[in-house]
Amino acid sequence: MSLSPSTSKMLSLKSSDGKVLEVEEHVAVLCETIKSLVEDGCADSPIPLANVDGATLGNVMEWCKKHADQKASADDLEDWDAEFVERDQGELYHLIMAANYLNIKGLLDLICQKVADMIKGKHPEKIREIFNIENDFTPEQQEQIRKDNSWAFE
Amino acid sequence: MPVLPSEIIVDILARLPVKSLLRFKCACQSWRCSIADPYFVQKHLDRATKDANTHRHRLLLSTSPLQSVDFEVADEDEYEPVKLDFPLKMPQRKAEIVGSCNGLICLVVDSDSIILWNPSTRDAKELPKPYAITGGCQLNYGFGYDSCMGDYKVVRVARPATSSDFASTMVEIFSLKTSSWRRIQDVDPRIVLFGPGSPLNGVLHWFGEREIGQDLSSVIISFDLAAEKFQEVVQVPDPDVVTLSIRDFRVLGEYLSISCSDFEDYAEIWVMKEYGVKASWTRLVTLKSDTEPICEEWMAALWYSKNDEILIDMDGIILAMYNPKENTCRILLVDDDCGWLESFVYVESLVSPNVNDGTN
Repeated sequence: MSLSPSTSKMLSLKSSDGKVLEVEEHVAVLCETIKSLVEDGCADSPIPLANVDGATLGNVMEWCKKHADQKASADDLEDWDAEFVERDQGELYHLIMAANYLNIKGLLDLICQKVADMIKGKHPEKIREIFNIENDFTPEQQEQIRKDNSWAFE
Repeated sequence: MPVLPSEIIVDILARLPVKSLLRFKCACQSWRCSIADPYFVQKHLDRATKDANTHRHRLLLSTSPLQSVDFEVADEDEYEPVKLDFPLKMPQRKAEIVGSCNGLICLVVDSDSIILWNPSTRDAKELPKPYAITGGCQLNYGFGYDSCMGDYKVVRVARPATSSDFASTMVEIFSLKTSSWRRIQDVDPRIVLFGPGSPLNGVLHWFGEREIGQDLSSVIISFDLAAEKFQEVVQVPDPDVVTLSIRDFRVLGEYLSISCSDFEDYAEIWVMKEYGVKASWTRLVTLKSDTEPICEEWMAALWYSKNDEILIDMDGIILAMYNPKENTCRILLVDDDCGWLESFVYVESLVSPNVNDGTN
């Protein structure tokens, strides 16, 4: 594979809202989905990414660019990632969906961990609000589960 | 947040502590099912045991009431033990912790009642009584997981206290799946086991002694939980290699380990780097008198952290985290009230001792 920065060519990525982003190939191939296209010789420009909007694609590529940088140390990346995930819920949601669609394990891991840290220790009512979940328990069922695990609500 | 795909929800949930998950069972039916799913329980356990960034190890202390310490918390001021109600019934006389595996603790209460307990979910089960009459017997227990059968097993070894030519050591095994005891082949009564067995990769290990004529030689006896057979595959280091007196034997991370001391101001911890290879016994750390505190009589290495720190139990009184690189020791807690503190490391998990009970 000759995907080192010196030989890297540019790829055009087209978002769901029609924005075209020029990205170095060695950065874009951090997305397994794009890597497969490149390896199969199907990376004709621009590559349409029907499930990712322009703003999210920009954020995803910013993350890929940082993580493709061979000079970045592990500590440096950790600090940078911590800052990168400081976003509102809407943006985190779009990033998760994009990381899942583009198959970027590192980014998906990072955001899932961020969401886990965010919801840790919260009450079920708050969780339903965050994840848009409908409460489909009867009041009796609800009461029973709470009773069985009462200490967890202290 | 719009609705996320279920595999991503599961990925997020697998990163949460047990207490949060017990709360989130109330969110909706599908979350409750996901959290109770055996696949999820395993995924959550794998993350707890294998992921370097997940801090799910806890220390269970045999105080009354029992206490759990989150010794992995980053902030040293937060070593606040959590009091736990004793599972099922209060012991009349005493409770002994005899095993810890995948988040389950095996307790022996008032010498004849055996309880499997998950301190993280507070779920407990009292096992049926073993068959054997144990009057005048020395009892040794072992608790571990048979990954071939996906079954948790308790082994009880009953050795007649007075050895005669006819007496033999009776071995019984309990399977959680069938919830019953079976007697398996007896073992040589000339082998004496010490303490409870430690599980490593589906094999229990006891330190023991074998009587050969008038002499006693140290042995490590192993019991394969899948094959249900005893073996003596692991050799202790020779006395000219480990010159100190061996005070404790147990599993430390991925290794069998022994702790030894000179009863004064010098102690060593050894590990068997390559399983079953006698020549691979390696000294992991030495504790000298310049490392405060120092054990007086007995010590055990309980846990090996991902950044090479070792949790040490000294004389059943002091629990300290030892850093071999800096040769420093920080004390987590000191307990001089109860005389002898037993401590076991366990991992926070959702594994239930009530195997058929995945409903709540």
